[in-house]
Amino acid sequence: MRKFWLGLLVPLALLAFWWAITAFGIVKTYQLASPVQVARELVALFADGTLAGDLSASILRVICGFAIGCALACAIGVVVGLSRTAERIIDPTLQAIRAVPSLAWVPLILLWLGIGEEAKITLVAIGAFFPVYINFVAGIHNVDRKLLEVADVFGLSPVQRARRVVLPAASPGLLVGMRIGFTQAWLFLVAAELIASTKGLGYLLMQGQQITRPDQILVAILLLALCGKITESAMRAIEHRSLRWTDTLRTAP
Amino acid sequence: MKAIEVRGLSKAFGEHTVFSKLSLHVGHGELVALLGPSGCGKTTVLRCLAGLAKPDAGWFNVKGESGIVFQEPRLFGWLDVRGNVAFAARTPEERARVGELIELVGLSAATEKLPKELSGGMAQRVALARSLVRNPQVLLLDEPFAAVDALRRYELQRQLRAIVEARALSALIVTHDVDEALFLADRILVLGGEPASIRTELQQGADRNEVLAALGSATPELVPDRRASLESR
Repeated sequence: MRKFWLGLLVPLALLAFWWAITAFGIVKTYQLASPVQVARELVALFADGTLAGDLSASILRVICGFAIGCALACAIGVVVGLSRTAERIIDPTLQAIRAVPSLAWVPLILLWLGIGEEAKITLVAIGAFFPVYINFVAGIHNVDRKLLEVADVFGLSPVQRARRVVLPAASPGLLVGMRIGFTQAWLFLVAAELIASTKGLGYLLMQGQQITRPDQILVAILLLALCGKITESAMRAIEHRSLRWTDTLRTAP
Repeated sequence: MKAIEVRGLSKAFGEHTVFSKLSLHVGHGELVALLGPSGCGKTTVLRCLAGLAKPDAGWFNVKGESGIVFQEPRLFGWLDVRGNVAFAARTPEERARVGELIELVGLSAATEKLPKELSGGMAQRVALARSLVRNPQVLLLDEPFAAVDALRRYELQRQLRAIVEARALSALIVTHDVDEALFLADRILVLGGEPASIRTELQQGADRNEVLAALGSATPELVPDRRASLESR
C-alpha cells in the first residue's frame, strides 16, 4: 500500500503546481484551465450524459480493435515463429507495413471503410497488432533449444511440441506484447477519433480545441491517462499472475 | 542382444572429426561409464544414441525404451515437479507411476514446487524421475551430476546406483570425473585422443592411478581423491 502512495506523489505535486500557476494568473485561463474549472467541466459533461457516451464509444472501440488485432497477431505469430519458411514469406512484408507511421493509415482507411465504426476499429486493430506480433514471434524464437531437445527425446509430434513446450515458454513475450499492444491501441484510437468521429474521447479533444475550451481538452486528456493507466495496470497484473513461474527480477519476491 | 551396441560410429562437425569408427557395448543390467576429458566428444556419442545428433557413418542400437538425463536438469519452468515428471507420460499406467517416482527420488515433499524453487540437486532428481516415467530399460546419462556440489553429488550417485540395480536397468553414463566412474560403473571406457577413440577398458575395482594414467595424467598421484576425503569424514 505504501508503494501505491509513493506513485501518487508526483501527480499531487503536479496538481498543486497547476493550481498555483492558474490561481495566481501566471498562465491565462483561456490557455490552461484551472483544476477547479476542469473538475466543474468534468461534472457538467458527466451530468448531461455526453461523457458517458464518449467514454463508452472509445472503450468499445479499443476493446474490439484490440481483440481483433491481438487475435490476428497470435495466429500469424504462431505460424511465423514456428516455421522458417513462413517467416521468410510473411515477415518482411509485415516489417515494411509496421514502418508506416500510424497517422498515414487514416486517409486510406477512411477512403476504404468510410467514417463508421469499422474504420476506427480497424485502425485500433492495426495499432494493437504489431506489438503483439513482434513480441510473440521474439518469444517463440527465444525458446531454449535445450527444452526442445527434451521434447524431441520423448518423441513429441510437432503439434504437441508447439503446444506443450514452445507456447508456454513463449508466453512471457506474448504477454509483454499484449500489454504494449493495449497502450498502442489507445494511441491509434485517438488518431482515428481526432480526424473523423462524432463521439469518443478523441472527438472531445478536437471539439475542445475548435471551441477554445481548454477545460474540455484537459478532461479528455485526464480520462485518456486514466483509461491507459487502468488497462496497463490490469495487463501488468495478468502478466504477473501468469508468469509467476519465471525466474526473473520481475517476479522476484 | 546387448542393451546398447555401437559399431563403427563416426561423427564430424565440418572439418573436425569428433570420433571415427567407434565401437562399444553395454550389456543387460550393466552400468558403463564413458570417461574422458572435457570436449573429447563423449557427449556427442550420447547425443547420437539419444537421436539428437546424426552419426555420419556406423550403426548403433539401443534396446527398447530409453530415458535420458542431461547435464542440466532442463525442467519446464511453468510446470511443477509433478508436471515435469509427468511430462513424458503417455498412458494412464505411466501417469500413475509419477507419484511413485517422485517418492523414489525423495521429493514427495516438493511435489507442488516450481523448478525455480528447487536446488540444483533437487532439479536433477526431478530430471532423473522424468527419465524413468516410460519405464525404460536403458538410461543415458550425460554428466548428470557435474553441476551439483560434491557432497550432494555423492548422494545422487548412490541413489542412481540403487535405482539402476533395483530396476535392473542398463546404463551408459558420460563423465569426466574419475571417482564418479570408479564408484558407479561396472566397466569404464576411457575415451581420448583426436579423433576420439576408446583407449582403455577397465573393470570395476580398477586402480585409480591406472584410470588416471589411461586418461593421460602424467602425475596421477597429484589428482586429489575427493570421494575418499568425503568418505573419511
